[in-house]
Amino acid sequence: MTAYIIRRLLYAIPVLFCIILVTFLLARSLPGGPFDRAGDKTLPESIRQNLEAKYGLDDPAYIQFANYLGGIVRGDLGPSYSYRGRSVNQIIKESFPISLQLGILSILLAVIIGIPAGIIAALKQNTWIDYSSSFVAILGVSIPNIVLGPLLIYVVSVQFGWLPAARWGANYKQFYFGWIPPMTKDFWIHAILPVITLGTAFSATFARLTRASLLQTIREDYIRTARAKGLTEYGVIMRHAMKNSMIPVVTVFGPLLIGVVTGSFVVERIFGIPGMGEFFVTSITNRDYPIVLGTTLLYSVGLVLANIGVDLAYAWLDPRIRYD
Amino acid sequence: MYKRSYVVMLLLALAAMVFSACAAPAVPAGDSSGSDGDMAGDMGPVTVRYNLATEPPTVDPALSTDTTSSAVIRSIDVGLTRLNPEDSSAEPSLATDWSQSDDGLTWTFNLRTDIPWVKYNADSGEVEEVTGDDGSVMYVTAPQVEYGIKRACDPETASDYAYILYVIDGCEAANIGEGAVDDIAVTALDDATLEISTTYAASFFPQIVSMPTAFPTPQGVIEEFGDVWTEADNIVSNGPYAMSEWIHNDSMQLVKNPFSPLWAEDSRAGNVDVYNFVMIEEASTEFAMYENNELDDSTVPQDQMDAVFGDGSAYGDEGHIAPNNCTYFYGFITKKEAVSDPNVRRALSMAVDRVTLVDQILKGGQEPANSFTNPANFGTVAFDPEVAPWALTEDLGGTGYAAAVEMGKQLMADAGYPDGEGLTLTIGHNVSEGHARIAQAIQAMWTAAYPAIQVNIETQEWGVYLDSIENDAPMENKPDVYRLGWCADYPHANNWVHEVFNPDAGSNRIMITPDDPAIGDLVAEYTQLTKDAQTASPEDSLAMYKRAEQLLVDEMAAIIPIYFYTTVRITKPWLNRLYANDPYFEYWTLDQSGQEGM
Amino acid sequence: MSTQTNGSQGSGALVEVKGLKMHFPISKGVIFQRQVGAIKAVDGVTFSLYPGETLGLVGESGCGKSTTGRAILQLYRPTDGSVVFEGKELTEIKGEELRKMRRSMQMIFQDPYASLNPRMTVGSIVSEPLEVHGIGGSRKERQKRVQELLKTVGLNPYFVNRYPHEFSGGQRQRIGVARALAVNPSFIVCDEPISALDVSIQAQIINLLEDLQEELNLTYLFIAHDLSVVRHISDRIAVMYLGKIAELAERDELYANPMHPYTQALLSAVPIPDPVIENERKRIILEGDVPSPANPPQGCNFCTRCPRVMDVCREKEPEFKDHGNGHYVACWLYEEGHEG
Repeated sequence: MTAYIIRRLLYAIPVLFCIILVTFLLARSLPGGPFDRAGDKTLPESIRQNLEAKYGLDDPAYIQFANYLGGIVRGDLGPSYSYRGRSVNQIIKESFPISLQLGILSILLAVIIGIPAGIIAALKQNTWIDYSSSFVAILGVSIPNIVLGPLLIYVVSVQFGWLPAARWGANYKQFYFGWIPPMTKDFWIHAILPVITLGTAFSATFARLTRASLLQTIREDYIRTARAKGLTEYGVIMRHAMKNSMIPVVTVFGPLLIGVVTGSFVVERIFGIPGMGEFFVTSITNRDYPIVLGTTLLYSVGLVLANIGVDLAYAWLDPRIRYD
Repeated sequence: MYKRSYVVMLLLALAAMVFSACAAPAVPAGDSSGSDGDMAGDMGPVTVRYNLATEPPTVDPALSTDTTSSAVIRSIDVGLTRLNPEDSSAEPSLATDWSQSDDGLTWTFNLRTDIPWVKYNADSGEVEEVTGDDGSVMYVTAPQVEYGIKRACDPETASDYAYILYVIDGCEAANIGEGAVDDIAVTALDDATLEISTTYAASFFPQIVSMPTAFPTPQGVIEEFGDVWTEADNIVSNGPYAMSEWIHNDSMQLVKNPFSPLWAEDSRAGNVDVYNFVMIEEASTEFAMYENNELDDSTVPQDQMDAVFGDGSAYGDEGHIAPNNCTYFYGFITKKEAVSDPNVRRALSMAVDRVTLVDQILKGGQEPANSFTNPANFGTVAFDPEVAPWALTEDLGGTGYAAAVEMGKQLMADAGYPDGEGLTLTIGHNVSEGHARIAQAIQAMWTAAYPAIQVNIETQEWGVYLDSIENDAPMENKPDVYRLGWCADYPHANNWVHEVFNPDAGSNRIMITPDDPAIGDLVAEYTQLTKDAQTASPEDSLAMYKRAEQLLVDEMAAIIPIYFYTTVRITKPWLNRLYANDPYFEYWTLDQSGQEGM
Repeated sequence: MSTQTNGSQGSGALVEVKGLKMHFPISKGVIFQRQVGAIKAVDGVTFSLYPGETLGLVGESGCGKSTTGRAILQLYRPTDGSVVFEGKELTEIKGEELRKMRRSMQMIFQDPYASLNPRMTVGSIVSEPLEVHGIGGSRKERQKRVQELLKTVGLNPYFVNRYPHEFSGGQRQRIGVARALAVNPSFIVCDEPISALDVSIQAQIINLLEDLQEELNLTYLFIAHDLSVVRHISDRIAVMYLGKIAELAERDELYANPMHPYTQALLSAVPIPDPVIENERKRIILEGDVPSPANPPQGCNFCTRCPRVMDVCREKEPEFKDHGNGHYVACWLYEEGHEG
């Protein structure tokens, strides 16, 4: 197993190299550069040259790429172009933990709500319980965060004044080990609305997947066998159907988790949460190449790890799958 | 190994989140203002909760280019001069007075030497004076201004706004690598006297040195900490406030600097002890926080305009509209075939119903514009009926829209496009709902005035868009008409007509050239006029700027000025603030009993 | 065992099936679903099983034989009819009571690949019934019992920690048998237990089942889709067509004297291990397809394919009745006044 994991990690290196190379080339193929302008204003040629010289952008592209790779090997993702004086490492260190907290809480909520809802819907297939939970699930998937977030803010915060309207209740200077938030009341009251906003859509996704997969599983012969053995219905579902039906859920769970913990631009923006989602978007608008590369690299590494995790979970869920 | 421990850490974190949730002590909700206590009266420090809307890209004066950075920097640092919030004239600040040599090229600034460098001490929660090795307090002196200016011009610093200081003799040469930084003509004659030579007799120079780019900066701290000298732990400053905390992309806190002489000397000084800034980008969220009493002041989102300013508004008189020193305009790429005829361009400009646009589409109290230079600048001719009268209402002595369209129709016919027949145009703008609404409205107005005209709208992502309207971009990629806004760096017409459109000095995206068959002579006149106005006496320059605007907007009709921006804010009744181009945080007053009463 | 009997049957039957019907509804509509028809998978089946005997249930795919087996064990709740097992009316009990009844009646499934949970070890598959019925004593004792069972079905007792996918088809079916035996049932429905296996393995499993029957006095309902397989193991054989039993008789009687044209057709397809007879024998080839159980033909349900069809066959359904020696058949050919 260890050998398998090591092998998978080694295979990931050329993949990551290609991702960096393609991202590097794509970012630079966009028209416009990072120092063409300040706000609405075009910068004079001389100013642009100074800035490009400062950040090594006057070197040939292959040298820039080699320098960048060298930086990655040393663990240095370079300086940000748009936030002068801040490094990409620093930006990720400050913003990623917040996205991670928001993402983990949202996924937890999604799992806690979505999977039981999917199970109930599957067991009560074609009853009003199934229809109403499917209806809620479709609603959850189709209400975009950009609608749900402001709606929650308006109702819960503005109308009732129960919760703060926005922001995250802890910042990077307070995190334990750099990324565990202090579990204060302040933290939780700020987390509720964004977590619900982000978690709802995912819980709907989980509910639908669980329902579909479980419906398929409970038609399997061994489920009938389990019934014939004299298991209770609960025992049949929990002992025989659940794990077998979790494979599709686990398959989407990995990439979904990475997508969420690396930041949701919309939810973070609506709630003014200083997470990493913003940097994925603004770095491209700003042509801030090091942030584009840094965030993409982080996301890719996460995806590689998540996929390894998913594959290991398969082995746990299904003994027919073995990695040697 | 790293990756495995990463997974372990993840699991640990989850466990910790679950367990500590049970054990965590309850902490009262609200802002974690670090420095309650010492400066507290009965009700605690006077605290304003304000949204900066975005992370300041920097608070290094030499690197600042944007309004957010500038708002913070002007609160924590002082320059030689400062702008009067009423009329934007240069007022004494670090410099108590200044004089211009007879040839107008050399400026001498006399400095006060009693403003100390200060630093926030996180342990004591106090702002403290910075002392030298011998224990004596360090004051802001002329050599530090000299250092600040030279550092901004130094190509190593790579300051975006160094070009603003090109007026200083030697700055441009040093900045483009053709001269030494030491040769820049800024000289501290002694601690209290600074001499600066300029390349031409720029009457607006005292306003230029009010910009952060020309501020004094602390050489020792910058050399010690490098790029991160602006972090809250490192920064030393000298303004009315000091930075006590900066949580990137989230919040910033400024606390009153009791050593700033401004508090005692300036009668306009306010009473705010602490500014808790947040960085909420989403306007609707900011507004919700205002409504939830988490902010004392907010912008008003477009969809709340009627709610805030409509009759019987639930917000009473909390809404405020103030002019903002920016102009929204459409520029013509005059080298494009469709708009190469100045008559066509004038006709198009005439057919823009600015009043309807402002009242029906924008709804933010903007002023219809007849000139490029915003009314808040020296040398402006805004609302002067002798400049593009067809853009002004009858009240202001203009022709009004109906008459303007009649004139436009005649011009269009004269140009060979009766009713716009045969004319196909493209309007370009960057992706934005607001720009799209305006472009669609103008498209409709043009089609109404010239029914046979064909108007297309193209949108592009901001960076791509700017790239496509650069002068060296391929002609076929350019739209016929582009949209942009311009905001003053310093409140003087030179920053507008010369620095933006002078073919020799500005970016000149309208591509006017003296060899243009239709307007070549006018271009030559404009080029000379805007250059000569720089060195003319202020009184003489007024007429020159007026003539330049007539050329730009009417005779060459190279741009369509559309409206002058406004700042639309909503402010809690207990906060009394200014609505000038910069916030002037030091002048705000807050009635604590009102705020606490909520 | 219960000696209590009820109703008419004092015959000593272990299982008594009467008028069993299993209809699956066909529904339409998105929000308000209404039933527009029914698949009549089992449509009035009656027979009895006596302790220690094996009843073979034969028919083509889709004739409802597996459904009959499942409906008897209440894996499907029958639409109508009665199933009396050990004196209890199974169709009327449910929940915990039914669950407890499952100790006595078990099933061996057709597909030894799909019917074993792929993520449970052999040990847990076999011991789970013990566990859920609270029998077999402590964990250790259960462990021992599992090993005994594995030995009984001819598997190495050390296989307990292996997963089903590590075994061959025959071995898996042995696991299935061990699982069914675990709770000491008196009645086992063998649902085509060998049709998914290699021919060489089939005989092994058949022999195993026979040995176990002798040893443990088991009663089998043995479901198969061709007559050759059931001939060996069955005491009596029932032939099913389209949800109904066409003919039921003692094994030898049925093979010697098939009465129903459908049985005759089926038997004519069974190869005979004598080349002379095999060559001379006439095969009856049935024409057409089996009608849909959602829409069975009027009258005798075999009338659309019967080589000896008569007018009356298309009008009235023949009665399923004893024509002597327990030879039941439902066919107009043997009714007074209708012999063709």
